[in-house]
Amino acid sequence: MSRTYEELKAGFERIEAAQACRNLMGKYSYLHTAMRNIDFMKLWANREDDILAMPWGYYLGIEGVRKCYLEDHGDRSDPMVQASPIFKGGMMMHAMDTAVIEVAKDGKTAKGVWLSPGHESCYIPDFSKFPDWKKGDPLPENLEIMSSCEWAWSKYYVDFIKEDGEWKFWKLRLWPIYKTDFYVPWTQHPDMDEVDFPFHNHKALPEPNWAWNKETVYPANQPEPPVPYEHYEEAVPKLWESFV
Amino acid sequence: MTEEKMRQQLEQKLCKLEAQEACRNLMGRYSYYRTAFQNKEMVELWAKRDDAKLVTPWGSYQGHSGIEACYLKDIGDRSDAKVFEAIKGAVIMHEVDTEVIEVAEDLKTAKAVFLSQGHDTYVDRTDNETVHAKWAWEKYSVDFIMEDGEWKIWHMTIYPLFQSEYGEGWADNPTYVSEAFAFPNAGPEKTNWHYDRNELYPANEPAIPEPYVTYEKSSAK
Repeated sequence: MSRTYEELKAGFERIEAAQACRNLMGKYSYLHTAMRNIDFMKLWANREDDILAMPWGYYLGIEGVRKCYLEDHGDRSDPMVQASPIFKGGMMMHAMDTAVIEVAKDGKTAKGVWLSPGHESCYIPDFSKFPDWKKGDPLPENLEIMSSCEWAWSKYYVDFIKEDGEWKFWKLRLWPIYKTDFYVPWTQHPDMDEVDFPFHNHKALPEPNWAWNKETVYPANQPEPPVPYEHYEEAVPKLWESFV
Repeated sequence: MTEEKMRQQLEQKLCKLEAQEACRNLMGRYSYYRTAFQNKEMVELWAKRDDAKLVTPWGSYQGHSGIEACYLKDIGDRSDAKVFEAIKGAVIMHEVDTEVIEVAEDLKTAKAVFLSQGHDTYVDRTDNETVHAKWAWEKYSVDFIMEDGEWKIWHMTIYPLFQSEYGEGWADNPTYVSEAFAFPNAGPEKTNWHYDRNELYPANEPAIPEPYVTYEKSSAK
């Protein structure tokens, strides 16, 4: 023990960075539930190399992130969202815990993983009867609306970057764990289907999501807890290789 | 106060904060490795000491050799072909939250408690391939120790809360450890509280850590 003032300053800044990352994940959770997606966009780095990988597909660059949150999802201020039978009565809540956070020794980036117990509630059209319907299309006539209360557990890998002195989301991968109706065990729930996500601005995932099956083994390193590193350029996660 | 004294105080504060981050990260890694049966990595999270100790609802393990016996023999690593076959359909996920962490003033140890909400999914191959999807909540008491400049898990006690099948009330199921699994290397000491209408919830499981100077002189070991 005997660090210089410069070393102490760097150390305290890394502690602050870890808390900033936790706060970003917390803000993401609260804003997502409230469908405040215009506000959520402000948490992202304004970069061409942003990556947002969701269970239904992925989006590249800040423009891709914008399309995901403001077109595919929509903000609560959007009249179409306000009129939507899905968003009225919608409550998508994803809590955050089990964090592992590593801030780069150079203080410019950080990596983190989280588990997320959550639930999703909404009143939803029976999309199985309208497989070609996309968000933005006129709602079909004689629409049947079903209530849906589901457990929705997921997990995250996130890279953060300091941009103009502020920590921001840079690359985020969200994996589903279980999404199951309240009355149905996750072992009896059908796999997620494309039709669960009527979005159209994403690119197809490079490989299907893991889904529980009695004959499959839960994947290793999904997400891979980060290890200490000096510079991001020398420690780019392999995870991102296929999101191009 | 001299400048050197001020620098020392700042360094002490920073070391405590870094220790807390390290303890959080250790518990996070513990959780991810446990779910994926990455138990070779799990063993590396533990201090290589004879006084390391793990107490669980199914038994206890003493020393680093005991920790290895638990994770590499009684549970097994996914790289072992037999284990890989046996863990098909298994998802043992125990999230970690609700922390209280105290780092010793001497910066050599830390004590912490955590709650864990989770679920255990597995195929009972001793019972006609029955599939179980269970809620599984528990609590942790953990001591950490600095070893060769790195924070490690030193002592861990896992307290069961409840484990119940999906749709089954936990008051209806006092069993926490399934008979589908054997733990031949576990010692007899175990944690076994379970919810019962005639029992008061225990006062000090886990014991909430208080600020302390050195582990040796602290009250809750």
